[in-house]
Amino acid sequence: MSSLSQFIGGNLPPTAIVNGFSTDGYTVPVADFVTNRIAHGIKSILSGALTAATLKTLLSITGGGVLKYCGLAAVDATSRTLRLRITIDGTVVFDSTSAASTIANAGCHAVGSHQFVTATAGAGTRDRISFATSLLIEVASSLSETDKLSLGVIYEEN
Amino acid sequence: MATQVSTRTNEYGEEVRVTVKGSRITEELVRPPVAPPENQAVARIKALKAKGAIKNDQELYAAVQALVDYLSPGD
Repeated sequence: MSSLSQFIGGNLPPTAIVNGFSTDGYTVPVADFVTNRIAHGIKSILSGALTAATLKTLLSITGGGVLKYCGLAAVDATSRTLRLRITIDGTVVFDSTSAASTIANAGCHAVGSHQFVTATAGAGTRDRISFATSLLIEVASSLSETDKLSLGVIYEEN
Repeated sequence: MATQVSTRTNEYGEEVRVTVKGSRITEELVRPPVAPPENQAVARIKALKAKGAIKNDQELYAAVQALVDYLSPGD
């Protein structure tokens, strides 16, 4: 099926996001990218209560838009795995679980990136991942715990 | 186009903000905001003090210095 964006250079919604964090068992980098997120306009959503190894919806949008940044991190140094699943227009485009990590304020970037420099300084790249009809972002921890995962997002709504 | 905002409760008893604008529906988990780093530092020191881990000014200084190093690596 053709779409207008094929001819005017727009971004079609992806069917898969592949990067260094998209394969199960990736090693969480020794990097802090949570504590200065707010200073860089990244919206943080804490996980609330989580049941071990059970996905939980943190953000659901019905409609079109653009996902510019999406990353997940643990907020303390307790050993756990982190799972992030992104579903765009009904297709799971990113679903991976880290190796067990004991690094506070670090995790993965699915869309864009963010680098910690100091508590108030950092650097990041933003991407533009389109969704035409829906966006669903779910997270899971290997532990049952509350507010220990932090989702970072920047998105636009059409 | 009018925007309607309401809330519902998820399976964990937490508040979910539902924003409806036309055909668009956005549902987002509502959690307390993440404390800025300086507030996190104060909270950590208070926690250490509550545990009796900080007993004198020298230990307090060491704890503060460790936090400064943590929050501003490379400075």
